[in-house]
Amino acid sequence: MAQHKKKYLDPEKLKQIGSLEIAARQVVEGLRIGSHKSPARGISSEFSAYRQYVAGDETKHIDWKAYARFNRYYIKQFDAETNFIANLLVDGSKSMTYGSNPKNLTKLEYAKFMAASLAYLTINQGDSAGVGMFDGELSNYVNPKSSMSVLNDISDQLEQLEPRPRTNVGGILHDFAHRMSKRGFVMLFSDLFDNTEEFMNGLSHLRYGGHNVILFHILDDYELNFPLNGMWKFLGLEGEGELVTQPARVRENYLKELESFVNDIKSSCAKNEVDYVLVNTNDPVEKTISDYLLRRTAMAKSR
Amino acid sequence: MSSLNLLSVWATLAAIGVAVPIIIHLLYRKNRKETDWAAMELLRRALVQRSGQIKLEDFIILLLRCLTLLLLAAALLRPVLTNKEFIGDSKVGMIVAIDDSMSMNHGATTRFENAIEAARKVTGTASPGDKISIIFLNEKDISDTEKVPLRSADYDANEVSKILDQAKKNGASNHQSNLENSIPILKEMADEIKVGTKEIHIITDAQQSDWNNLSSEAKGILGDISASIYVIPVNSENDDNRSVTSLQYVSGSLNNSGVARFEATIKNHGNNDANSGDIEFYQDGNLVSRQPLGVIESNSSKVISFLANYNKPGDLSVSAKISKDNLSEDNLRHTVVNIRPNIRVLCATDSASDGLENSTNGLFFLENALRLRSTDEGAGIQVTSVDSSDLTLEKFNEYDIVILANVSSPSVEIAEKLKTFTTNGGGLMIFAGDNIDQEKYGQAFGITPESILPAVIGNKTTASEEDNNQWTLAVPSSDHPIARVLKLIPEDMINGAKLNSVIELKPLSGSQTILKLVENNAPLLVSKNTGEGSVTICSTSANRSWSDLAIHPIYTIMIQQAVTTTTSKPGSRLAMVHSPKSISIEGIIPSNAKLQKNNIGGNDAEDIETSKLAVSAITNDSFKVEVKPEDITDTGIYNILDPQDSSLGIIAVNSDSAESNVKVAAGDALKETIGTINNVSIIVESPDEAILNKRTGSDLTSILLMLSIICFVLQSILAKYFTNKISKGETDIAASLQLSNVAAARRT
Repeated sequence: MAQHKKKYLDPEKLKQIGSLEIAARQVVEGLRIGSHKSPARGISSEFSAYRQYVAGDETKHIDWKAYARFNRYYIKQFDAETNFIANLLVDGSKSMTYGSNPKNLTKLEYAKFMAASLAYLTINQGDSAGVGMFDGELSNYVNPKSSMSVLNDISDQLEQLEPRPRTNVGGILHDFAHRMSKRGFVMLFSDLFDNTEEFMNGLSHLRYGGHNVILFHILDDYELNFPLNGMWKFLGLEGEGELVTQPARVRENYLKELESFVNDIKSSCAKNEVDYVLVNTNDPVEKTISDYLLRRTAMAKSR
Repeated sequence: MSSLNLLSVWATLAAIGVAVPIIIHLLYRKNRKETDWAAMELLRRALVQRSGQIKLEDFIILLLRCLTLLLLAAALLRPVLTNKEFIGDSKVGMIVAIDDSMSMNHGATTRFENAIEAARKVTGTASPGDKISIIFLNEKDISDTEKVPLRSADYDANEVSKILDQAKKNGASNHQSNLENSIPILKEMADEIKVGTKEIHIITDAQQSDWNNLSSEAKGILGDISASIYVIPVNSENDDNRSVTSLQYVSGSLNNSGVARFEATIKNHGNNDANSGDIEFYQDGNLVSRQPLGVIESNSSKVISFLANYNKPGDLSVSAKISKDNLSEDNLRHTVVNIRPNIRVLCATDSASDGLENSTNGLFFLENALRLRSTDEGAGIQVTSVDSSDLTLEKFNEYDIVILANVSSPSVEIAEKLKTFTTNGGGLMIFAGDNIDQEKYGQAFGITPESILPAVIGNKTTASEEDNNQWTLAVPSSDHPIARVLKLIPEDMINGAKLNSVIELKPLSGSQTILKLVENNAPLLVSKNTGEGSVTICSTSANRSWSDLAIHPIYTIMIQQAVTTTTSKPGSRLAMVHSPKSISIEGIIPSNAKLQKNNIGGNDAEDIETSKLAVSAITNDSFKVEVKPEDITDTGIYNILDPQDSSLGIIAVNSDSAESNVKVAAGDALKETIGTINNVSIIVESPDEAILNKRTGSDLTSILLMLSIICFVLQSILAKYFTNKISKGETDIAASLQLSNVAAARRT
């Protein structure tokens, strides 16, 4: 943890920065300092085409199978080296406003920082990024652009986001799947606490449309570990009413329910080939992104 | 404690036991915290899954907590199971109370010896580890190790045996058993024993005088004692006993050289008539008279007189001793009177200047009554008569008695001098008359009980025609020495004394009415002790103006006896065994004083071990000697000696005559007296077997306490377990999920 604090920006410090854009830059800079391998290289995994080898190309990109067949050197080209579109969709429902520690980030704030950071990272490597929020409807949508100026719009829209109860999530994702004319990345940030099935159907539709879908499942540390003691009254954020109990006495069952919930989502994601990332808002944003990118790189290598 | 009270205590404790955990639970619920929560559905599902379990866990914890308090409350009540086969602590706390009163000495094999044997049997039922106390029921202080040789001690058979052997050797005391005062002590001793099974064994002759008259308060305390009380009666062969119940001065001039009459009362307490034995009278320890007792009927008394002759001043001891019987301690009784060298009387009246020959002058009659043997100037009564106006010139401490006859109004100064005079041992007599100003008397002496006057002086009243203009003197009923001597006069002679006027007397507290009138019961003679002296008021005149008493023989007898008892104070030298006594003695105060016991019958006197007696001055020519209870532990005649072994005075020490009635309470009577008390049993035979049979209790206190602690610990462990089921090695689920993601990705 001590290393993390030096290497990454704590969510608490990130909150103090205030501006999403500045925070996103710092996150990305932090990533570069922390990793020698550029994460930009592996952000795309789409095979694009072959071209003939020219001097200066890295020999590791030579397709030796093609050389065996044609006795010529061909270089394997990926989409990473082409422009791609990343759509970052943030769940703006009221359940995302929960944060166990007032000094720390809420899930929504954390999602905003992640979205802003990833948008910055995408645009910074010459690709397009757009942002949208969904709760009752898709709102505050910023069309994907590759210019750095779009970062301002993205930051503004994210900052203006007001949480509302979530409804019709499936419909929104279906509409969005139709709306995206070109295949690209869709990154979703949500706690998935309501309309989960509907949500997963929407993801399935997106994936069916040929999009690369990454689901960042954002949960608070208290939601993950449930470390409360004593008698507590729990007030539902989405109008679910209230519950009074001693958390310590139901912790075991709660954690089992949580595990089952997460496993269901994971298996659903695996089935639809959706990347699933479980996020603890206690972790620094750049660590979360870094971990994911490393994982992504590992996946790309394995192909 | 009655069973109802016990029930209400149980109910209260049970209610508290049940209520406390519930209140704690409610308070705990009230102090809950609030938080927003997103994962409500997960929480709800977890709760549904757990709710049945939680209710059961809560119920178990609540049950254990209630049980903890109930067991604790039950333990505090120190319950004892009646089944000794059952679990429990069977340690016994035993208090053996042995009657050590004088009556226990009765019999050839005395009751006390029988009591010691019974005590051996009772203590033989104890085992190592049991607690034992031994107390001898007598008048000694509880701190006296002779009274309580063992107190809450661990049972040691050898030590107990030694104590009982020594007690048997010493025999019973000459005290009263003092049962009324002993019962609270027994309760105190029972309370301090901290074992569940407590027993008090009272080994006694169950004397009627003690047990039949046991107060309801004492019975109440017996019932409140948290112990089984076993009364074990011990007896001698029979209840026969004769005793000298009293020996007292009755009449006669206690001046230098004279004769005084003493009376001994002998009572037959037995159920059979007694017709044997003698009574012996001793004067200063020497046998001077022996008379046959004659027949004394069962439960009757006989009075035998003795005339003592003396020819020198000082204290005279007289003892009466009857032939030995089953209880020798009460066969001997003593008394002491002070023989005065002479008596100096100052008489004052308002009209002394009229001349003593004037028969209207009260002093005329007083002097005639006082100077029976006026020829002997060195002995008898010396009378000085003065006019009341000259009282301020007189030094009262040069007289033994001051008589005010028809003195209208003593000044406040005179009143103060008289107060000092009587407090220091002088006697004052006041006769009424026409000059008496009752208001001024009230002002000078006061009308409160603190006044030296025995009564408040009121108005003059005169017999009405309805009473034939005269009242009659009643036969006295008082026990005052003046009344005692007048009782010897035939009744018709007493009734022959007629009075036509008296002043009203309202006796104050502490006073004694010696003589009354027949018709209206009005007091005629009222007396009161004031410090070392006394004050007497006669409600009629000293002359014939208000009555013909002055020419009646009663007048002379009354005046002589009043002067004698006022100066000699026959009761002042009598003490009760083991009781404090203060004696005033005329003379120069010595540097210290000690006691010597005089043996009766010519044997040498013996010095007894006493600390120096406390002496303090009263006046320049009188002092006070204080005798402590521990100085007079035996009956007899005691000489008070100065450092040069010269006698300063004598005291007579007797025991309480109530102990002489050795009749024991019959079984039924004893049962009626104490048998109805729940925790009291009367054991007549084989006390050891009876006690062992009755000793069925097992103390559950320690078991209940242990169970209470177990319940408490168990509920704490369960509460901890139920509320904190997270073990140290449990994996953090969040970390586990995240790791599994990475692992899954790597696998992919």
